[in-house]
Amino acid sequence: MSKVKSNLNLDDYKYGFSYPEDYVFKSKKGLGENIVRGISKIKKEPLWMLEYRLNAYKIFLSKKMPAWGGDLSKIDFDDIYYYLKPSQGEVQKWEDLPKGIKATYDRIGIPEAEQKYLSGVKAQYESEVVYGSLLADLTKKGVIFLGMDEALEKHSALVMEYFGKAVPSADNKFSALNSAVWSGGSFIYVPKNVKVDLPLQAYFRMNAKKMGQFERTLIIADEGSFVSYIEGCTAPVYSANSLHSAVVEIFVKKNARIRYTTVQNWSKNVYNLVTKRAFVYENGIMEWVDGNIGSKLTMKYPSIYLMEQGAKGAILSMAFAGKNQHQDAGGKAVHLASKTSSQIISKSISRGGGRASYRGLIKVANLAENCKSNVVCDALILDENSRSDTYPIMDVKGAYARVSHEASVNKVDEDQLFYLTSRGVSKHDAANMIVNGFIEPIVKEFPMEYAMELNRLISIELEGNAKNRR
Amino acid sequence: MQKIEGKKIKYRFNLPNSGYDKKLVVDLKNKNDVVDVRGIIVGRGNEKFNINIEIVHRAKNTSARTVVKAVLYDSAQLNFKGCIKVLKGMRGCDSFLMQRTLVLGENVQVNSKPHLEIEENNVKCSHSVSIARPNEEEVFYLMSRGLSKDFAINLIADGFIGVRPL
Repeated sequence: MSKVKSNLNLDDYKYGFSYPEDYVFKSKKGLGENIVRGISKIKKEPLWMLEYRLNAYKIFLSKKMPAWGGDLSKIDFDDIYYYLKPSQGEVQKWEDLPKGIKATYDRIGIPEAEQKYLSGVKAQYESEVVYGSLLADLTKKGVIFLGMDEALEKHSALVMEYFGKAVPSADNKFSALNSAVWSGGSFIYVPKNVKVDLPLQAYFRMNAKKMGQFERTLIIADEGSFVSYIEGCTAPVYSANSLHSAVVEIFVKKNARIRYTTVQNWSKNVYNLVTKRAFVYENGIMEWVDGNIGSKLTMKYPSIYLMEQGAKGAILSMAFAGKNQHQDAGGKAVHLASKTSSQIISKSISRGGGRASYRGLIKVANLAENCKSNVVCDALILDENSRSDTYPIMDVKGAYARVSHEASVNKVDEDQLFYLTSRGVSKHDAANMIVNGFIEPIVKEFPMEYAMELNRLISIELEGNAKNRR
Repeated sequence: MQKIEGKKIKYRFNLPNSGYDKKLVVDLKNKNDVVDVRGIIVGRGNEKFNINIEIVHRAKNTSARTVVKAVLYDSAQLNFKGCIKVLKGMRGCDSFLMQRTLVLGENVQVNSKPHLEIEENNVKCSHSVSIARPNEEEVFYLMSRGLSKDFAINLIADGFIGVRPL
């Protein structure tokens, strides 16, 4: 294989294109109280939201940067655009979008996917949701799928009841930042006993340089309902850094189930600092499926708070850290009631000098009885320049919990390689097969087309590795 | 803090016989060093144990086995931190750390933080933690043979500590 080809493949981030900026409104660079007020004013928000934002901004200023996890010292909060309004409101037809934006989504393939296997789509470009659709029969059943801003306008009481309940603005510095300058994101409400068969999807895209995207998502599944939500994220490649800091709040009511799938493929100049939390009530089930491939630094630990008896949670996390990337991912499960159970499976791969870390928490409260929790995290390091860490915490109080955790760090197994090559498979293909087999338990939980995309991406990344090894 | 290093070491500790805190740094400095660390903790009443073990692989082909088992009664508390570090370039290292807690008291508290910091790919490193009560079925079996519940549980605890790990 020629060297040129491998190089080409390595740089093959197919979402790295951008379109010229032609926006309705672009805030001044930097952050200040005037920016926070400005965002609220443009959105014509109720007074309580403005106060919520201003209060969060104060908390943001008072909180220190986290000293753990990845290197955050390069983030310059004054060198970021906090609000970009790309178009005049949300449209229901792709044709009505401004040219550049429509072309972007065509290239990513969203309109095509929508027709084939989705119940509804939200597309967020920069700070605002620009496109939205939902199947008509779901609207009839009372399912609400709106941009967060529109939801605040139309379902103010519902938003007010849940907003900031799972992730308060004082939770951490970045949840405070998001609460101050949030814009866009999805709002989903599924009424009692309604099952949404096909997934709902949101697509987040950053186009401008030095952009900050702060979407805010709130999902409520009422008793006995089910919904599967997928989010995808991409951005163009720039040398300047961008910041993505989302807050996702989820409420799973009695007997309900939510599956939340993330395919994070930001370009490698994006800081991805996200707070995601789900409250699960009696016999509810929450599933996070989390794939992290892109970004410069990701710090994301989807959390499950098991609030009532019989609640269950699962976190499936996959991270791929390539050159100049640090994936600090993981998951948290907090058992606050009896007979709750949780499972976390994490698989990470690091190569080309990348660093993959697992950070997790299992907490069992004193009065919770018969709780079960099982954590498995496996890491694969593909070359000598890469690094892998595991930082779990198990905090168990009381007598009736069963908690287990196991982790391992390995390289591609020589015996397996030898076996495959002895059967006539080339060394490169063999390594590829082994790595794909390693992440298979997680990848199979992704929707088909994403699973294929993940396998493709990983093969590309490995190509570079085979080159290094030679 | 206690520092141990050397070619082939077996290190044993037993708490609370030797106090409530244990800070141990194991430095594997020479090629082919092998270390075997085993600790036993039996906590009762309000006893509180702080354990911090660091296994640092500073040379190639070094290996370590670290097993810490705790049986906690009443309101005993255990804070455990165990870190395996493999420095860059130290190929062929093999390290395993296991921490198991058998919970026998109503108000036991366990905080366990096993860490892995691996900067080399040609290694085999893993850890495992478990925190659990005695298996109900095992207790039931022993009781069905005529043992009292307390006796049965004590027998299981003995076995838990006594079984030669690995």
